[in-house]
Amino acid sequence: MEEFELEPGEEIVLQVRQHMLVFVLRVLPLVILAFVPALLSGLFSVFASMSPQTSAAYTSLNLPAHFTRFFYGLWLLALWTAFFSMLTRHVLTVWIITNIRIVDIKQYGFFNRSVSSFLLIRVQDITTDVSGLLATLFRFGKLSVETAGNDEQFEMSGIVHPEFIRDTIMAQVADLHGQTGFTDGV
Amino acid sequence: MTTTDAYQSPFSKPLYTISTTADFSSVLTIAFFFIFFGWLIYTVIASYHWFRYAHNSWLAVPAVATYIVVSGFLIFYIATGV
Repeated sequence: MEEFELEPGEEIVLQVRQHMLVFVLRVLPLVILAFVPALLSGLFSVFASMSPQTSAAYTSLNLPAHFTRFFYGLWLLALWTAFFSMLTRHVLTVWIITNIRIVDIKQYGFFNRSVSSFLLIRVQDITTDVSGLLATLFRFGKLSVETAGNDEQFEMSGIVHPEFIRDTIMAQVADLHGQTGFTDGV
Repeated sequence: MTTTDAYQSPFSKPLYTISTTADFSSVLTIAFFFIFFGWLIYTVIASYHWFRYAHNSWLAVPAVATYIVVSGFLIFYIATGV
């Protein structure tokens, strides 16, 4: 059985993920870290050229070339694996908006996943929050949906075009209330 | 053997010795196999998640393929250092 199945008459309106820039900003430290061994090596050789004593110390620290390849390759493999884990988390974390409900799928890590859904008819309030220069320029932000009942709040940060998504959800909610004849609060 | 020689070599040589130092290259070889199996397990787990949960996405196959190709190249690079 699938973790998420459409009900009869249910259609997917929108699938929402975090903005690509949020992902890029998250993996940027990994790119910088990939160059750290080369930078350190360059820095050491500069220090080594300063005096004969530091030169002797640098020579004593020098590993054979194949050992360097081993450790540098291992370093890059670790970073590449971390990058792929982040990509997996980014792609598998998604909001699916249908004409009946919102399915909130969060991938926290491997074998750590939560799927929750709430009916659009229970939506009480939707808040968008776009703050910061990058968020304003690239139009991403936080979307919070408050539902009736247990005062539950569903949030997704770094979401693409939050205002458009808010309007889409509100349109679906209005449609749903129109169908059921319930107009209060919309 | 004179008396002086006897004082200088009081014990005979042991028949067997246990080496307490390891060859660095052999340590790297063992480490490489651990790394390889770790990578293999990680790849299976990651692929499982992609094909189980993102199977409808056009991105699943290229993403997993790219991961395997790039990490395969890196593992080959590591192997040249063993």
